[in-house]
Amino acid sequence: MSEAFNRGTGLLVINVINSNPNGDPDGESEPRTFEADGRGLISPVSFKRKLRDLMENADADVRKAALAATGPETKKHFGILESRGRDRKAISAMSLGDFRAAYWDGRVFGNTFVEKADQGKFITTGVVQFGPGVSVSPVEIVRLTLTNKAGVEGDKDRGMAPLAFRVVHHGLYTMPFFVNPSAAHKSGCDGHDIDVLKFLIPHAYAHTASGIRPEVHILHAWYAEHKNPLGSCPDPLILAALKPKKKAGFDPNKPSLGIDEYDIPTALPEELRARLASFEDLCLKEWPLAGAA
Amino acid sequence: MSSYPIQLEVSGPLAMYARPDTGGSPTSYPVPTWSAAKGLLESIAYLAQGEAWFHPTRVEICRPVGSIGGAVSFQRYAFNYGGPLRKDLNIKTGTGMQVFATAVANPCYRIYADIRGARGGSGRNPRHYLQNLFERRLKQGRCFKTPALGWSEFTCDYWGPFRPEWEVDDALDLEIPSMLSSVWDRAQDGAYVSRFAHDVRIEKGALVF
Repeated sequence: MSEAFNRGTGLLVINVINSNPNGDPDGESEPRTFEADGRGLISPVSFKRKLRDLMENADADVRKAALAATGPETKKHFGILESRGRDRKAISAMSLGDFRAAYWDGRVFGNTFVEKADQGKFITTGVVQFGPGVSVSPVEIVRLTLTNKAGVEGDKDRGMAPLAFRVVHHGLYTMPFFVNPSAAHKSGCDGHDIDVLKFLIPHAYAHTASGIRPEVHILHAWYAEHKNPLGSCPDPLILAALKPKKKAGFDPNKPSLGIDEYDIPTALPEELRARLASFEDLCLKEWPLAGAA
Repeated sequence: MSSYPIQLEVSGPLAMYARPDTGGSPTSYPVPTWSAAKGLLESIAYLAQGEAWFHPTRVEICRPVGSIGGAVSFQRYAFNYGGPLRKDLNIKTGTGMQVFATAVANPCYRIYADIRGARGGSGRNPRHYLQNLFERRLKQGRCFKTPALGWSEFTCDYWGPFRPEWEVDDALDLEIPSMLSSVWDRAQDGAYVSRFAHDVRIEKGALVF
């Protein structure tokens, strides 16, 4: 665990099989797609919610493992500000120091919490920005009707949800994220908060799986730590070098049927790696403190 | 007076430069406003004391080389909003709000700007310093704030020098009857005053501020 931290650039490579990684509330929960070219889309809000969900319940296994691996709560706590049922007046009455110490998501993602009494003193920009997750190629949407033997309506003994199971047949998505220490002094974010984030990311889909999202796998969670807080390598070079591409012989403008259709980078070119303090796949990261828990 | 030009190409999956007239269901202008272009450049470098600043002069809308241009693609983008711009009742009851936005899809822009500000004395020229700082940071991969295309969650997949695989969409002509220019009365340390430009024209893919 460290207090200060450097700029970080990340890229998630997400494999989606017969699942809906992010439904569109403006389209009957159909998987989000770009209208222009049919590529799949995952909103940053959707992914951050999964990280919050992993940390929200104090007894949750992933939360306990995250704190065991990165260090326990001390003066700072790892609560979630964006929770249902929160007491806004009580939060508003907190001192700025207490507020920062209480909420992990507020420190990491920033927040827009405001009440008349606090006059917006808690509002901060985020240290971590997730960008839109976009599939490499267009995706094919499959729609199936669900039936329910027991029924859910009071006067019926069976049920049916026409075309309710709407999933991406297959898609390989990439989602970038950026860690910017310049915003940390305002939000109170430190290296421990970032370590918790790094621990959580590989578990984001595996531990929030659902009937409509059974197979969303993070294949790689690349994390490039720059050599200083401002940055030591242009982010776009890192992202471009890690982005999967369709193999020769497979049309990049057609939906894929499986992961075998892609060339997926497994390392950074040496000239980029040399500009970084570290480069790792968070999915394979060993956490030294985890064994002591 | 010497000129201190800079230029930057940016692209990403989505962009949102909200038209104020679209209210709670924001729809984006096809190009960044003058203010947004300035803010995007400032995410890479700026002088906190305001001795020099970026003055965007031109934005070009780009397309992949050889592709058919002449149109801007928009994208429906709905999300849950829990921030301070909800109705009082929603805030009191802790109810979220769904926002239905219309963003620009797959944008790529080339932004041109001059650097304006104090002329400086011998051995000290803030405009030259800012130009140099900006160019150096692009090469080093440094920025003060991660650049974004309007909303901060609409991160860029590229920012840097012009790329040969993109070209200005010279088939694109648009007219915008009224376009927000800036929400401040000065380039630095301004007070809130929204300013609009009228009968704005994008000709051959380029908007001149």
